[in-house]
Amino acid sequence: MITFFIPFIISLFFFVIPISKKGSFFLALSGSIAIATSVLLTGLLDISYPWIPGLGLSFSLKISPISFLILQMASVMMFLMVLCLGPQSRVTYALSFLSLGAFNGVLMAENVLLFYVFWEMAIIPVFVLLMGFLDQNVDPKIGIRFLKYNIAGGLLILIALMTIYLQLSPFSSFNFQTIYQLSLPFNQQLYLLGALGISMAIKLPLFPFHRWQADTYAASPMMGTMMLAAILSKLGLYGIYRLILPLCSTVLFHYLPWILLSILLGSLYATFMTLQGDNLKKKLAYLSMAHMGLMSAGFLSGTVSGLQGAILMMVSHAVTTISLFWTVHRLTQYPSSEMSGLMRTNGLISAVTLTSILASLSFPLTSGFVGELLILSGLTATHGLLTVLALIPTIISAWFLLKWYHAVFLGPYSGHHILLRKSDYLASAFILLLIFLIGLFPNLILDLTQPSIMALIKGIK
Amino acid sequence: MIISIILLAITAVISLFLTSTGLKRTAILFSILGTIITFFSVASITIKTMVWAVFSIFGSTLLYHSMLITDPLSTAFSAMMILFLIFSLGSLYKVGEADKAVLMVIATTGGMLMFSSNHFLLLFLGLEILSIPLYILANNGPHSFSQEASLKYMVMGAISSAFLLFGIAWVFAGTGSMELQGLNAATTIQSSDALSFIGGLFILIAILFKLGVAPFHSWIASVYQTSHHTVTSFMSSVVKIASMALLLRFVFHGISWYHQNWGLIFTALSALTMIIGHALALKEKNPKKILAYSSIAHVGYLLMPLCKLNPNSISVILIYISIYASASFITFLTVDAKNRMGKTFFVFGLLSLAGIPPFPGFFAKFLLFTVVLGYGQKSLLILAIIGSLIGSIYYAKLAYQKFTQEHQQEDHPYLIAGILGLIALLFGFFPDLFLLLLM
Repeated sequence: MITFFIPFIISLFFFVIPISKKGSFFLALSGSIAIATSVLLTGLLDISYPWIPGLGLSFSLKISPISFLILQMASVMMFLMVLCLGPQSRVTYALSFLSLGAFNGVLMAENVLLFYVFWEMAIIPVFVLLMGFLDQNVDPKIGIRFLKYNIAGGLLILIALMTIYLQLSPFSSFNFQTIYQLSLPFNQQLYLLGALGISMAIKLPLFPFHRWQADTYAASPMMGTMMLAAILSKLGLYGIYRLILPLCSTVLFHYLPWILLSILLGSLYATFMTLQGDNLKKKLAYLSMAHMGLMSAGFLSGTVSGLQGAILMMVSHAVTTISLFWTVHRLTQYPSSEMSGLMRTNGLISAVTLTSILASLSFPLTSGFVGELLILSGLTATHGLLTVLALIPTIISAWFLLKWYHAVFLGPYSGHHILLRKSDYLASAFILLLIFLIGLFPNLILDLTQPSIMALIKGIK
Repeated sequence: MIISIILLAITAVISLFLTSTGLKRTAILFSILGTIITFFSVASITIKTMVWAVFSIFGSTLLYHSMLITDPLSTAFSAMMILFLIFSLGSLYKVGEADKAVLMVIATTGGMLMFSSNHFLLLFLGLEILSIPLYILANNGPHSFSQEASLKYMVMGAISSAFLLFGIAWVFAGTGSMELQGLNAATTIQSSDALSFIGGLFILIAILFKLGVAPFHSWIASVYQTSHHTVTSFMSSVVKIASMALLLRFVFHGISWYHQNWGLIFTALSALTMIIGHALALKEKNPKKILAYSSIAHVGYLLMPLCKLNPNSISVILIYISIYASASFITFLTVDAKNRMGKTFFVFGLLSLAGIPPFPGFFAKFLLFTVVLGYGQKSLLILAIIGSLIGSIYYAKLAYQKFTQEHQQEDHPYLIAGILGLIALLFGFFPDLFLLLLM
């Protein structure tokens, strides 16, 4: 319970009490540590209060092993983000903690309507962050488009939930356990899959519904971009795990080859998009989109290794995304054409960036390797040919990332130097630690998630 | 019921007297006091009708030669109207415009009379008592076109009153009775169908005009735009509730020969209203006009449950209109706000109007949509959901516009908006309290 309230309390504190930039920096750091420790201490809690008995709604929160992992990941990533970006204005912190609180709410919600409430609530702070810090020369339409897509996705979930709600007998609880027991006819599952699938595809984002993403990532302040890329986009994967897999498995497995094909083609498209243009934030947005496609393919494959790999890759993706965006953030202070040979003066930054690039390319011993390997093995077990398609994006993104690395860090020295703060050393060490820890000991995560994934898959089949 | 109406009328008269002697603040305070007393009298009647309902002696009671009806519909909607009247009067206190306060009290009296009457002449009387103060209220707005808008409103209102009288005449010709119950009873006989149907249609048009349903919506935008913001918030809350109650009274008590055609009419009207409201709002630039068009669209939502004759929809409509009225009251009151506090309340109201989850508007929307889906109106629901998507776009634009303006010092605490917002938020987080109050 306390885990649920901490982010909201911190956010309220930031909104109400005027504290200095430095003070709010330390408060944000300690706040994210507090969330992480409270998740660790309270562990798998399970509480329920009556909320609207007339509609069968209760305020019930539950932390399952998988949501425990994602909650822990989110709070650690919050810590990392705050550490990386250094002191920000207190409104930025307030909004990001509000969004994190809503994110935690989605993960803990045991009641279906509560899930939806937090799902929508997570969007608004990011929208305010985006619109509030928009540059004068950026089109405000970008923010509106972000809201348009995300609200549309939310409303699709609402439709799906209402159709499910009407199937229940009146006064029965609207909890996940209750709706999992429904056996829906094929036709209805098809509609549900359509509504839920599109809404998850908007959130992740996947191919035809990705138009909001690159511009939003590019225009948003770095805190918002990291929040969206590292934390909030994981909601789409969690939605697949929580709603699509248990509710529409029959239809899903009927059309699975086609769905996987379209997702992987979308990934391929996204990696090709990384090769054009020169806005690095946009390029990284497309890279993130390609990885999201691979992860959702792992989730949808419905195999144990696919799901486990996707969860592992989810954590790894969060770390590498934050690290790469951090590098971009520090480079944006200089015109990109002038930067080269940074390795001579900024050894630490170049090492961290290279490690993150390799992790993002699934290099062995880094965090990305085991995850991608497991996803691919999951795909091979069911749809062998698609594995080939899943491999191509990695190769193309290697082209983009290594070329970028070469241009900025290697080559002739241009005389620029990036100044480091004290917190940067800590952040770099933390990133390296996470990447190698997950890469060398993936069982830390795999053992935690295996029982609930086995249970889920047994429930489906 | 009659006691509450009389109490409110006496309040209006005494505060009018106080206003004419120049004690403006006192007049407003007195009218607030009188309104609060009326609220308690309505509440006591509500309890009494509940007790009657328990012993099932009267489902609804007819009083004074069966001229007035006292039933949950009239008491619940009256209570809600009076609540918003108190907030309107409170928002006037700072400005000290006692004449507006008196007019608002008179209009509310008319509204209560209108939808708790069983007799068509009393209904007409109530409608006029409601309307005429509104014409005056719309007149002295800050906008230079406010007189023009008020004149247009009055002419169109007069035409709609003529429609109402004409319809009453047709119904009288058809049934020989001036009572809603009489119409109800007589129209079960097949032979008189045509006359009463036409009469009912004319009466319906007059009611729809008051409510601002799509083909009769044109007055809303100009009147809402040009009136003073306290008046606009009064119109969008109290008058909307009164007109909706009248529509419900007419639909559920007047036309028992309710068949598929009426459902179709309401479905079509609701769809048309939603489309027109949202489309016009999306195109508009002026914030007050955008809100006016969005209020038209929300009336479209309110008509959705009427696609099937089911008395259960009354409570859903009451919940939706109360939450909508609170949100639109806040937004209209703070639409010109320049300080940070007022702007925050404005955005709060917008989020509630858009139906974004933690805000009360979401629960109203969820309830309404579930009911409509339960009636099997899938296409109407999809239209409504697309509509609320469009709605959230222009609300977001409005909020963005508001916050990119410079903050200015302004000596206005927007206390009323804040209090109403807190109450609404409380009900938003715990809708169960609200359901409990209604049961």
